[in-house]
Amino acid sequence: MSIGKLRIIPALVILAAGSSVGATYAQETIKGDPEAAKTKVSMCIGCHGIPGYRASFPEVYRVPKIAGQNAAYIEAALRQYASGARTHPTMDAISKALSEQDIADLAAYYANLK
Amino acid sequence: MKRFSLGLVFVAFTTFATGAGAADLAAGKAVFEKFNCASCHGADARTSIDPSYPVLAGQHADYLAHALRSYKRGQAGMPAMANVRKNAVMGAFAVQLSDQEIRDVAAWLASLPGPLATRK
Repeated sequence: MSIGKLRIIPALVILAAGSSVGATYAQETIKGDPEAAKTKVSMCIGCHGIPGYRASFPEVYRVPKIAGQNAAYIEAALRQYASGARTHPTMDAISKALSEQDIADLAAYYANLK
Repeated sequence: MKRFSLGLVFVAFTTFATGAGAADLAAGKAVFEKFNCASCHGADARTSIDPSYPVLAGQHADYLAHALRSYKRGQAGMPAMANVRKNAVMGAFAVQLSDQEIRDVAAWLASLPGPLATRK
């Protein structure tokens, strides 16, 4: 089991408990830092930084515009890819490599990139 | 003869514009209203009631259509490799939409002004 998976387990336990207190606690203790994200966006920009870039599997469509998107939505989407609630070949792999801090930093970065 | 030709052009144009596959913005707006999407995403489709819900206004139409189809597949219990989204609320709405309604509402949302952009 990779370190990445081990770090996800506590978050899953909190979610499984259905505790809103736990979720609030996690959000309050991890604060997104847009500056810190600048060293983490290399896996994002190859698709999301290219105007008109298209995903090709399993459907062909332009990848979403994420600059200016709500930070909390970006965080939710990344967690859903990591948990399997959303599936997409590329995003599955990338989201599972991200820590909670990485997710918060990237969400803060893109939400403020207007 | 001239009037006849103009009539033919008109018929050809309207047939093309309303043919299967073409998106109808007015119909898309009607879909947004029929399913009361504004109750979560905001009347402008960019001021959602909760920040964990996405800005839709100005997003790529083909991506929005893809997202709706993914919710539909998730609701239908398709396997993960089919590219699914499992979400009780969006899944329940998406399964009620025809392919044409998905194209229409996606095109209308994409036509709205919004803060979204493609930047590095």
